[in-house]
Amino acid sequence: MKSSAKRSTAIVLAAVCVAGVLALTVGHYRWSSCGQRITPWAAVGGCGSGAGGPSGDMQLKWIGNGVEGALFDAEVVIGRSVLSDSSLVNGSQYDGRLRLQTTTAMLNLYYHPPRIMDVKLTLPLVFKEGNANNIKTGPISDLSLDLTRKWGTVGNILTALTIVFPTGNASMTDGVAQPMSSDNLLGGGVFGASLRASYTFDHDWGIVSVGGSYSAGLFAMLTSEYSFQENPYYNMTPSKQVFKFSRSGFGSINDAGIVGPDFVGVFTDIGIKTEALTHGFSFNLGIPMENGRSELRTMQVSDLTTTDFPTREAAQAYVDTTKSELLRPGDSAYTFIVANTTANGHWPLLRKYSVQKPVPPSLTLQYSIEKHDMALPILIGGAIKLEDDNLVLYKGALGNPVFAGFAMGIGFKFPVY
Amino acid sequence: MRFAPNKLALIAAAALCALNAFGDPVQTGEGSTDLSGNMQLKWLGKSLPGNFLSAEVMLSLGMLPDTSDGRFSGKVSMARVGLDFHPPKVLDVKLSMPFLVKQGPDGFTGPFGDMDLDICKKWGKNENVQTALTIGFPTGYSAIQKPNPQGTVDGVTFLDPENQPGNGLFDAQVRASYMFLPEWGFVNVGGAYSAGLFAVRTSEYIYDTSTQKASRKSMDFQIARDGLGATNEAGVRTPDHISISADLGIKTDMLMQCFSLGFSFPMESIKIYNLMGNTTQFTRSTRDSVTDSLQHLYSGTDTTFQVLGEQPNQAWYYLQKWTHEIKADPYLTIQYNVEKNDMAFPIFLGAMFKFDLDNQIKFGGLNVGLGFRFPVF
Repeated sequence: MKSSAKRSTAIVLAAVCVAGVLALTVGHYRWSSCGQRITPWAAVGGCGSGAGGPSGDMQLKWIGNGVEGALFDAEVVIGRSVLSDSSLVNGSQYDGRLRLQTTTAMLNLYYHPPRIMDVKLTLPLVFKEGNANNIKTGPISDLSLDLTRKWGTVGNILTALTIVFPTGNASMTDGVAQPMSSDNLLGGGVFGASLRASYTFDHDWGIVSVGGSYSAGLFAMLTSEYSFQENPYYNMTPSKQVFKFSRSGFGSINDAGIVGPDFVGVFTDIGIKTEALTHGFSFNLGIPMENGRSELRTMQVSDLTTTDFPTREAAQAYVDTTKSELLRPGDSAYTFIVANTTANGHWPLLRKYSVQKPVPPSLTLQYSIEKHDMALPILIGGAIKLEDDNLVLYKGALGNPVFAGFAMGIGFKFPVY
Repeated sequence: MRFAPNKLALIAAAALCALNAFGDPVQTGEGSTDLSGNMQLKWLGKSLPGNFLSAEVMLSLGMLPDTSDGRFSGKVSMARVGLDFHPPKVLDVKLSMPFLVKQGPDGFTGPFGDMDLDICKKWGKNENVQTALTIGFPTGYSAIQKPNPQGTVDGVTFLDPENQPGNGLFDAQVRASYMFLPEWGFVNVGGAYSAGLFAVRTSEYIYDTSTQKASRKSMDFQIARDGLGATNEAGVRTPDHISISADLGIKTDMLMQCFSLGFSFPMESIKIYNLMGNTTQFTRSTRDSVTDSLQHLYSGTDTTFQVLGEQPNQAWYYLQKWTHEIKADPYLTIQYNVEKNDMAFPIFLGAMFKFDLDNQIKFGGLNVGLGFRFPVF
């Protein structure tokens, strides 16, 4: 009886809390709809055009008034971005070749509970095409949840936390059990977080926002055991995964063996109002905390030549201690994993080989216009991304900028409730 | 000094009055194809009245057919950004820059096309004559190298012209048209001539001992005329085109509905100057004797050789040059578009079909687009 009474009390308290929040929220919505603005530049901010995804994906940042006075509003940005390919001309110049094109539809749902914070849920629908064999991948990338808190009105400070969930497939193979290039993967494969802070000056003529961010991968579902399959061909498939802290230096590793670096971002957004439009400019500097990322290139299956190991752990311990004997010259990036089952009395061995892929610093420049509309504002924009092939931005300056990518898109916002 | 803002306001007001004295301005745009035959939707409809500077963004997707069975060989996604200057009673000046992705058999290329500067002068009001000059600048990459089966490039072999984002030529188009503006819309008929004029081209190749391939020694700004066409750095002769067009616009309360019919005739065939780097073994002691030996093997053809350098083991690196021609077909374009009437932010929606006229009418491509205009100043 006592526990039943406690449960009832808890339910009533929860209901009261929910009703209170709803009452405050609805009240605020009605007040806002009378013509008051919650935030005059509600749409400034977000991860923005310089966000570094698993392949340095580019996303347009909405700079403008957005929708005014709604408790819930939605945003759809449809875009097309391309990444350059300088591999045939020594990587230090650009000759017009592109390696990847990405078509995205970013669905953003905003929730504006009054005087608390802004909440944004992003569901990116992605279609990627390009690289070797013209691989096509899609349709869902990593989901993210952005929580923003603002202090002040005319000049305000904004802090935000973005949590990224690895809903996009990051462990795809190219059809012959070989890992796919990280460009074509749909997500980063890690639970990540990004902290952001900015200071905003709001004037009659527009707005200026200056800020910085730090993005890092934190956790991942990593394969701890592989099982061996003889048919249809010698293959190893993940048989057990564990949720693990995945930090590796100033980066994080995912299940595909890709070590992605953390990013420090510095940005400046400028919005200039005219009668019908807002012209938006955004400058976004992305600095990786490591100069490269390790990326899995080959996975080969071979047998252990001995059968003297009673358990997998013993076989793995033997492999770990004698790794140097198994390596060929120049194979220092190999790792060896023993399968959890034997085949014909042997312990199959998975050899994983990683290569180091440079991650240069980048500068993204965006220009956009937003057509003012209380109900359905429209945004059109384009962004260009420059990278530094000498990696000197790691030390603080763009030394030799090379064209790295381009994005263009069109977006719509509309009130939901 | 304190009256300066008022003076500026008076000047601006006078300028607006002068501009509006032209009546309801109508725009018919440049040609519906560029010099290389790439389709581009032209904005038919009202331009933004009363603005000194306005901008236009045209997002489009073009498909190029492979054969007549429904397959496509290429796709072009483009965002053409234009800035329109309307100094009153002087000229209309438009600067446009395409950002594009070309997808073809040799992969993706982009992201810039060739920039155009269009200068247009109009005489008359309800019945007017327009003349225009469009100057094209080769800002798009036009000499992207083609990798060989080993996945490397040799410095002298290029992708097909269809896969190059630009034509590599400083070109020009002269245009003249007659327009009359009845109450129900407009009718515009005109003609144009387009030609490539100049190009930046390699004047001399040398042998690079480090890469053991051909390397450019120098590039020069050259007159690129070649018969009734012009040849670019990648060795592609783009023919001149003569074209005629007829545009029709019909006003409704909410929209302007427009139709355009164009015909374009190439003045020459497309000529490709092929260049290939290769290595051969000859027990000859001088470059000239090796050249003579190679030339002897191909006597009776238009193939020529230029030996660039000596490699180890009596091997010689040489450039082989030959040409081939591709017939350029005349073509017909048909465009339909609607423009939403809006003084501040008109929206354009249109589609264009292209038909090649090669003894029979063949489907030559499709382009659909969405455009926006907005005042800047």
